[in-house]
Amino acid sequence: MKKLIVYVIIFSMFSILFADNTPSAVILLKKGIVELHRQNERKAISVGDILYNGDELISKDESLAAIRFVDDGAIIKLFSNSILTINTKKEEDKLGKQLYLEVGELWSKVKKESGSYQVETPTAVAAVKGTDFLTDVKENGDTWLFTFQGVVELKTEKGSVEVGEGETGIAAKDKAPSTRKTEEGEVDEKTKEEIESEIESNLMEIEFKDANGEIRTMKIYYK
Amino acid sequence: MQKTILVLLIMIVLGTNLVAQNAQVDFITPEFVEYLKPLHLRLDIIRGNESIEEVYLFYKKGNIDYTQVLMEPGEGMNPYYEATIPAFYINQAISFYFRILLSGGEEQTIPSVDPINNPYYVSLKPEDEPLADTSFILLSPDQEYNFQDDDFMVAISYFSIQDQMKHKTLKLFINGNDVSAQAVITENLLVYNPAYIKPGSYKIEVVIYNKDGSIYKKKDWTVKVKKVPTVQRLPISVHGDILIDSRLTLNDADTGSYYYDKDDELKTIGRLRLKGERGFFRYRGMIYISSEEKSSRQPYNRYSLDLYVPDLQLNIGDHNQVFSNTTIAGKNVRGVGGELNFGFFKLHSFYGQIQRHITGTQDTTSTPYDTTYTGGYYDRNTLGVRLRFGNERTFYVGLNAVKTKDDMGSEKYAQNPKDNIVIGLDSKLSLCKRRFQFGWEVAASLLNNDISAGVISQNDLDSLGIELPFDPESIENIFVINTNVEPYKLSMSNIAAEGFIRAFFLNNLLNMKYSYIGGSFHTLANPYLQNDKTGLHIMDNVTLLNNQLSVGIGYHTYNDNIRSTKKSTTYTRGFLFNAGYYPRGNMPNMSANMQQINVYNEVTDTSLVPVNQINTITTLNTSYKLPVHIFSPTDTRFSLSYSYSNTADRDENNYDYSSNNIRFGLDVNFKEIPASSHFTFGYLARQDRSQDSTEVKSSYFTFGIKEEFRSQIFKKGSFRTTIGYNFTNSSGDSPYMKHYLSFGINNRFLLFASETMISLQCGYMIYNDINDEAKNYNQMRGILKFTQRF
Repeated sequence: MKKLIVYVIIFSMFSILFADNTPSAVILLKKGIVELHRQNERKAISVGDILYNGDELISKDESLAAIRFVDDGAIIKLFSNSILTINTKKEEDKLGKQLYLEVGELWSKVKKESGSYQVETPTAVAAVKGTDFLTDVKENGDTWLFTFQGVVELKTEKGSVEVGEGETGIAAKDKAPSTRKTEEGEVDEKTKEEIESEIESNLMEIEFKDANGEIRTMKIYYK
Repeated sequence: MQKTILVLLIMIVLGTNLVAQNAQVDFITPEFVEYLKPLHLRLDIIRGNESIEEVYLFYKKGNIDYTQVLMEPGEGMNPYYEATIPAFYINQAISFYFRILLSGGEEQTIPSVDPINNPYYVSLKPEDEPLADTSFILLSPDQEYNFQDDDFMVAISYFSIQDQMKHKTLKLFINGNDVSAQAVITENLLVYNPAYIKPGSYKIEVVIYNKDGSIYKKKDWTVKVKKVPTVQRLPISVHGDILIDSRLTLNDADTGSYYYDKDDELKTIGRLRLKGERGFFRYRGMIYISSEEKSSRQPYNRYSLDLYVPDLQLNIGDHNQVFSNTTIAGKNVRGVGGELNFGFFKLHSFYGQIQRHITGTQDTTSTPYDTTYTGGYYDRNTLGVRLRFGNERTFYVGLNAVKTKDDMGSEKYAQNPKDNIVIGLDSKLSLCKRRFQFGWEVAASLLNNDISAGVISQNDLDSLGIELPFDPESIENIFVINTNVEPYKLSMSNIAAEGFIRAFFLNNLLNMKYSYIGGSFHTLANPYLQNDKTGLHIMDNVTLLNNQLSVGIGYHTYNDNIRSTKKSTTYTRGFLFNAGYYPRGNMPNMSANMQQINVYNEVTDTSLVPVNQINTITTLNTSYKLPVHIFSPTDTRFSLSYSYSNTADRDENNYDYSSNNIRFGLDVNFKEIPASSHFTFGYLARQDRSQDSTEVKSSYFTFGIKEEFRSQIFKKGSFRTTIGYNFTNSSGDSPYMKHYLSFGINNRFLLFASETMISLQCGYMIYNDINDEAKNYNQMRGILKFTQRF
């Protein structure tokens, strides 16, 4: 028993000494409940919370978290009922990002010339350089990838495909990934809205009086 | 005698093209194009603007076929035409040429010799790596963003300098107040999350101090915090813009001037563009109306409406239809069209007009027996169907059919109504993540040059000894067969075939294209496709030194007379060399471009005229942007361009036309004063020698200065005022001097949170003819432009 306690203490010390305690990202926006799991700690995240290598995020119903990495190389949005682990590694003056999306939806906007960026899922790996895409891991583990801008390489053990702008890549277990044109309605309207909310400055506000004579504001978003 | 006549004819043709009897232009190839940035092209007209009807820009990249755009006439002392190649198109080097349509139906191209195969070429400047100071990055908030007040948070990253941060102290100031104690400061990130913040403007400043208290690094940002109100959306989205552009020219001319008795001119265009969506439905529409629209010419106005639902799109109105190079490749069709796309299978079809009827004139006065018809055009209708099987990103096969026929009932005084049918097959294979592409197409055509006589009778067929397996009358609705059909007998002459390879490996882009267009191959839906031509085009571009050096080498060889139907064959050989050095940091850019084309024939028959024409264009460009202190800090860009062109008759020495063109520009942008200055200096010297050894020398000197002042009278927007003076001195056959004073205001502001732009430019020109005062004139020009986005 003593040996076990000594082992645990030594292991903990090593873990503390060698753990990467450099911040990886920061929470920009949060809606609903998103939990942060860090080692044995579990808490609900808030705007401004700092994320470290190895942190796991679990989003609940009707929830959302927007995250920006410290090198400004990528911004991501984690949608409802999703589980994401953040792994980062400093690569000279860049930050390599390897995310593991166990289930749910993750939108990524990645800048060119930033460090490597990969989203791994139970069935596939999506590797990119400068793009804008949504990864959706279904409950059965199948991965659906929607590219809005640029090209994403979707890899599984059975092969790889390039998913171009306006295309959907599909990766299922034990099958080679495939790609096809994205169909209308495949990306949930609410998800789309949250993705597009990034361009909120393109907004037209029109004031008008309603039937009760009260001044109301109509807002029209445009791209 | 025959030879003399031929020589004269050739001299007339060459003279028309080269001596610039028509329009004389001032143009230097741009230094480079930048990745996904628009290329603005301007063709200055030195002489002969009066005879110009329209100017078109034809541009292309790689193996893609030319796209045609109508150039807009510009405002200024010297007339010019301008057009912009859109940003999305520019991802590799661009080739282009200009086609000037002159009054009387003549045409002129720039460059003058074989521009389709020997266009101007501009290399692509490799993408710059960001040079911005990334010591501090403001991760949150965005500087122009609306926030819920409880979401406000400041996050600043110093990731790139985290290893240099030992022994330094970091402080955060908000509106001058030190809030470092309330911030979380880590090795590479600072986060400050106040409990509450009022809407307003905030200055965020981060400072790293040295041990001695001096500042090591600092940076600040200004951020606007605005509370987000509740949002209501329209049932269907509506975005778009309105443009109104009006140009007025007032003339005051002496009796000998071209402008004497010319009416004052007002040209106006209006354009409305709309797009939007609701769920799976999308739409896009455009109305373009021009005061230049006249029934005596082909349409200027454009109307289009596109409707999209999943797998289907419907196009109504004007659309540039593209199947393949040998069928239809961008011709505007006014009618209806649509695409049914199921991924692996796509059906694309359209029906409409590619030419509208124009009323001609009838003349019976010249002789009592002959009637002359001039200027009439029939309605020309085209039906196109394309089936595509496969995936455009990997492999596909397409089957195309385009049928074009003149409507004889549409016009009384037009002649030779035509009927044309083209059937083609094309395919493309893409491998290695589309880095390697191989494509080919083949098409066959039938053209009837005059269907007014109707279908040939069986008796006439018998008398000609032609046996057809069908009755020509039974297929009259598909194609009219009579003695005017070309080819008369089916052969390879009515076949067109093209193949291309595009390979991009190890920073090397190789484009190769082979084409064979038979002498009797005609597609009325692609009128600029040259027939009776076969040849090869190769272009290779490589980027070296970490994308700082770009080198391109190209070669093409073509010849006509494929089936030896002519007495001599004309060969065209051309090569192109292009190099650009675009170093990063504070170093000048340099580029050089050289292209040479040789057009010659090999004749042994003494009755034929030997041709051996050589055309050379050399362009050197350099530009240097550096910070210079002129009263205050500036970004100053120097640019220097030199171009030499020569067209000469190599064997007979009958003509030799050359020009040297030098241009210097200086753009000074003051950093602390809202002003900028632009200076231009240009000198063009021409030396034209014709057959009788008379030599005509002319020169063209320009100097321009333009000052721009910026101010902000609206909260969001800009107000620019410009004032300029230009001077031109031209010598030669008709020497003149021009002075032009211009003034402009450009106001950009937000109306209902949408961008509005109003600009007004006025100019006054004084033209003095040095030899003949009676040709003097003054002109006042004004342009009013209004744009509203919504």
